[in-house]
Amino acid sequence: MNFELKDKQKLVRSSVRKFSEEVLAPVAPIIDRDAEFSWDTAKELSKINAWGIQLPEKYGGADLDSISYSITIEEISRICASTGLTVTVHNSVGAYPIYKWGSEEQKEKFLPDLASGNKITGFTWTEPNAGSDASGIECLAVEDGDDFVLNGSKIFVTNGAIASVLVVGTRFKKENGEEGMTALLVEKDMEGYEIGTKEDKLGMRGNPTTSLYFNNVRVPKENVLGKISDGFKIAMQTLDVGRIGIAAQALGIAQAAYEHAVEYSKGRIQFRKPISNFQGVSFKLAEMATNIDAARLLVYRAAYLKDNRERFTKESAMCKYYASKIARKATQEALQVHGGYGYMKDLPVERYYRDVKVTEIYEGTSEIMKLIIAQQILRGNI
Amino acid sequence: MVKIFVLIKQVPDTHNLQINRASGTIIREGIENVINQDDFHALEFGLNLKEKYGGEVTALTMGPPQAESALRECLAMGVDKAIHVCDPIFAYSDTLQTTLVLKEVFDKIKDYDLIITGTKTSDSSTGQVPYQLSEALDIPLLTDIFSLDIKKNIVACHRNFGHESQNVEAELPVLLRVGRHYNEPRHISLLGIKNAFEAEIEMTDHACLNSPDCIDGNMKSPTRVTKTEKPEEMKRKKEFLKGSTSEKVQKLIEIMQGHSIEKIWIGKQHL
Amino acid sequence: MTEISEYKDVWVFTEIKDHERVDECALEILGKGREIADQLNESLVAIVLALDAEQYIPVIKEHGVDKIVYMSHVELKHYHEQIFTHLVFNLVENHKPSVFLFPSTEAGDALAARVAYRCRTGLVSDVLDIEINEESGLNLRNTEAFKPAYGGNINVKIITKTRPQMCTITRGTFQKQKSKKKDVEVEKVDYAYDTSNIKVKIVGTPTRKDKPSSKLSDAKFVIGGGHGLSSKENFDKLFELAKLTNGQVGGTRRPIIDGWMPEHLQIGISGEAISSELYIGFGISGAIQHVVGISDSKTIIAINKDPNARIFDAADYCVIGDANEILNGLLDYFTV
Repeated sequence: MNFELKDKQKLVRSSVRKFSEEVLAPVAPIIDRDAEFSWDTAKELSKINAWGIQLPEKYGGADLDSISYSITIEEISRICASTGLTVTVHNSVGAYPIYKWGSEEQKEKFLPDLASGNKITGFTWTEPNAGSDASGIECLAVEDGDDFVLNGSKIFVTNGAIASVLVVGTRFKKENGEEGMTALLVEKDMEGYEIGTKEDKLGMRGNPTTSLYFNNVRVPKENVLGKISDGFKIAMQTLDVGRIGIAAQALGIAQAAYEHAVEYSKGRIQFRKPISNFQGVSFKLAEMATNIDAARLLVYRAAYLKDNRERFTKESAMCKYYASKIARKATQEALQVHGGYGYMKDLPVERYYRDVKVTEIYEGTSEIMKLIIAQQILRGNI
Repeated sequence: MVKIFVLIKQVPDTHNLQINRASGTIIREGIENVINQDDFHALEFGLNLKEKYGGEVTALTMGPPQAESALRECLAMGVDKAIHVCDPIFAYSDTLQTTLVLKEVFDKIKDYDLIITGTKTSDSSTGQVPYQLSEALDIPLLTDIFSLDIKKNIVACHRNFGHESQNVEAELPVLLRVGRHYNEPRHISLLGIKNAFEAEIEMTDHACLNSPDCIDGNMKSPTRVTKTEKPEEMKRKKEFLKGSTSEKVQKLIEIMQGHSIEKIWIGKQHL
Repeated sequence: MTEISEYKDVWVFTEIKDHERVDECALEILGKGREIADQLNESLVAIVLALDAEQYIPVIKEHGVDKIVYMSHVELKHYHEQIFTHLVFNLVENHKPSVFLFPSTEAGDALAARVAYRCRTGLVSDVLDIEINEESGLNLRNTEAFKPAYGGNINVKIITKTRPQMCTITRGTFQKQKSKKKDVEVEKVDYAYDTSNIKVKIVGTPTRKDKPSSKLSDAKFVIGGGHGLSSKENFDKLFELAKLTNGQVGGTRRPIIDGWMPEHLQIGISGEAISSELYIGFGISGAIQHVVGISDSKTIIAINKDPNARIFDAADYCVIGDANEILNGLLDYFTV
């Protein structure tokens, strides 16, 4: 067992950190304030292959391992969580399932544009009446000749306003009466595809989340991802992967909050000494450091298992549940360490506090994470 | 095909240095090593020249085994090849010994057109190597360049020299020293990183040199560090200026004048 | 090979600037050179290479030298790497000084490094102090500077085992000492150089050039602005003051977000670190992210209306008051 990162992974960390500090840091507060996605930033991200982190080189990806992937998302999110969200969703629940279950034609058609960042992708399952209960979706794709005709709506679609193609969870109904759930590759240019208004959110404001409406959208059958009836399985396995990215994102936010708290507490003088000399403050730092370390080990282990084993459902749920929980706590404590200054928009700490909350909600709430973990344990995966 | 070599150095990246009082050296354990900041500009300059004229860029470093990671980073940035000059006997080399080793290395390489260096290293900060290598290889060194053209074996450049702006020409091979303001070094891509770890690094040790006798970093360096110490941290005065606003302004003006800040005439040329 | 004991005398490369005056730094070094020469009981020699070099002799004589060795030729009007290196190295070969000091200037740094290589001797850059060590000769103290580490310098002491012992010294390290020896020996050495060897050829006529405006990290005087200036209009006045005083404007994160100042002027973490002679912060509260970036400045002035502003802990001079009022006061003075 080796707890040290490989030299390659260390270089990923230092390079993405430098990129984030130089390129993302200046825009992070601005895209948060204006709730605007930045296409200029997207172009910069293209230059470092951030849109195709794990895709094979032949599609224009960087073909990296999953720990390097986690580090990349962690470092981007340490500086700009909104950008971290756009990137991880694009890679892990958009490009990944196309690569994993897509036909060669689908890969040839979509992956080069996705890897280069010319096109952005994502994944949408949630509907007004189907959140945690993922099997309750109502979007309906009815077979009609060579197409499926899609009707229904999706909500809280991450990358909704910017995605050119999305993995969309639907119910299907074939002419022979067969029914089930399928994942369709739905493209923005298809007639009847309508993007709803942008949500006004507490945090992650630089990521444009919208609803989507499908009005008789004709989706050709070649856009069915994987076997037609495998939709639910694809969704669940995709989310196993996606959660590692969300956990890495939470980790990055926690790291940022923690670093700010350490720096601030060393410089802030009260009662004639730095507040870090008071145990009320220093113990908070000790807890943050310990929690972040534990979360990081869980995230990297899940990533390691993804590269080396078929299933990692439990481990990925564990890392997402734990990292998002301690990250929420870290941002809260970091803000408290900063006192009144932390509440002001002059410092980024209040942004971390707002951004972090949703990591306990999307790609499965913490409650669903515990449900998954418990199911796995009780099935004998102790 | 232009053969470009970029000299780089790995330096410790640290805010809080620890010193081994017995040996008078810096404790390097637990400190991340990074490529000297100026050298990124040298690398970028080399890569730009390659993009313009074709050819090949090689990153070259002299340093301990861990300097391999710096060369991997250069490969990730896009250089074609990397050479690691590494031998225990090169340790403790000062600038003169470093220059002598580099001279030996380039005498062996023979086929080089441009050698590019940064301006200063952030650790010892001597800035002597480019000049001394220019002496050792008997090739010209061009500094403070802001445009450069290569035609056949002639390099023509526009440079600042003293208080003059000059157009100069020199025959290849030539040494170039580039500063921080020349370019914006590119960011390292993830694909670059993946490829960097699949590349071979060429090793050069003491036995590879043509005439190794004059080389011994520890014994033959003319300068020797006898003591290392951390200077007293500067305490700020924190003197509060008193009086009315105009009195405070007056006091500020005096402080400014004490720092040679005077009224200037707009439009007057300052040299 | 020459024995170390055969090397005698303290030399100073007495650079002529812009073919019109003796470099100030060289004069300062003569002051220190006098001290060392007295302690070693050796002579202090000024080395001058210039066009019409005779004109500088009276000034140099006033700075404590025992001897002046000079060459005078039209090819010596400007520093030329090949010519100067060749001539100075020949002087060293013929006279064998034990100590050779150079001002740390564009020419001084270059010449010192080249001559040291030809002599196969050591060279210590940017020396802060020079002490005599009975056993080993000079003990040179300089800094091993870790940049851009914020302010974490360490000092090292270095001895040179070979001769001459060479070093470069930056302006302001030592003080000029006026003293005049009775019989200053003046020796003219004939100029001789075969210019057909010259490798870098100048094409056309060079133009005299202004120094490009310095970047923030190199600026001598930096004017910083923060949210306390309260409007873009007020913030713009910083640029006015900078123009009038040859300063550079920088600032905290906040004015960038407010759209008062471009991105690249940020000072601090994720911005630039400055090491100016003087820094004045207007309406800056003093978040650590900013303060680390200014901590290398020699003198720091802070202006803030909040007496408890953290910036004051990092300042030499603190002004409690409205930053805009103070700024207007300064502008009134500097506007001619």
